[in-house]
Amino acid sequence: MISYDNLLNIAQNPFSKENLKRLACNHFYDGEVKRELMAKMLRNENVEKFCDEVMVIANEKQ
Amino acid sequence: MNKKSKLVLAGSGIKFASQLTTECISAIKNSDMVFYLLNDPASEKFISDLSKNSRSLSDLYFSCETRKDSYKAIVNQVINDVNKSELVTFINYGHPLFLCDITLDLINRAEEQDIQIIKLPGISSFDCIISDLSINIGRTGLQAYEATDFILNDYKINTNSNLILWQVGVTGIEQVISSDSVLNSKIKKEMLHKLQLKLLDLYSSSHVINLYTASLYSHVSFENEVIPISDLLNVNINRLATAYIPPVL
Repeated sequence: MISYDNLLNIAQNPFSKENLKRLACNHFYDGEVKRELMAKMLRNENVEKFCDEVMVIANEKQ
Repeated sequence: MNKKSKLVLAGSGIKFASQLTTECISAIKNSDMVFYLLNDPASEKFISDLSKNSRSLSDLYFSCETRKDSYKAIVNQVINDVNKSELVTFINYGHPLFLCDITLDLINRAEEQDIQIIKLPGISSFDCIISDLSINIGRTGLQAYEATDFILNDYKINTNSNLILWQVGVTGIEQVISSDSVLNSKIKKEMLHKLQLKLLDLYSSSHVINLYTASLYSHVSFENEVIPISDLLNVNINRLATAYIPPVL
């Protein structure tokens, strides 16, 4: 559960040095990407696949 | 009064795993059963991992056509389980009593039976918007309405004060939101048109409206689209959006 663990790590320790770098880039999501994410949240999305989407998009945009 | 069963009403906050309070985590860990109705699979997994026994209410929610029927089915399920347990927690997105009909119904049903209700406040979109948009309600006050309620009723509005309209992204929608077609239904467009006309009676067409959505993940910013009221029908409004109209200066 690599992606889920990454997401949880950021959520529970957002101000670690590593995660602060991600926070520093926290305006990288444009409206369209966010809306795609919202659509995926609607229902029945596999948790790891879902977290992958969140993390992959984040990494690509950094 | 000796009340045997306890039902905790708690909120997960808005941001995944970051905004759960300490007392909420304790309730989740110590409950015989945790029911949850949340927005995304990561949050569901987080609550499930924390609890001894848990059940997602998503299936029940999506099994009905209207949200009203879904809420009734969920309330019946939770109350039925509370009667068989000592401690049960119901957890929903945000704050348990902020724009959540299910928890209000649960309170009414619990009062009819021998169930003790314990309410734990959570972080809601209200907390997030005040913080993210630096809204100073101490200066000009605040008016806040659920968007559909605002459209359908003639509340007296003071344009020199802040105005917040909750759930503007699902205006007029009574169905369970299971697809984009429901989200972009004709009724929603009609209601948004009525909202625009109502706002234009109060404000100039160039007065701004903020379409705000709180951050759902720690590494993702909140979203805030600032447009003139005249453009309200030309934008795609996020289903979790809140509208904020600043005071006329």
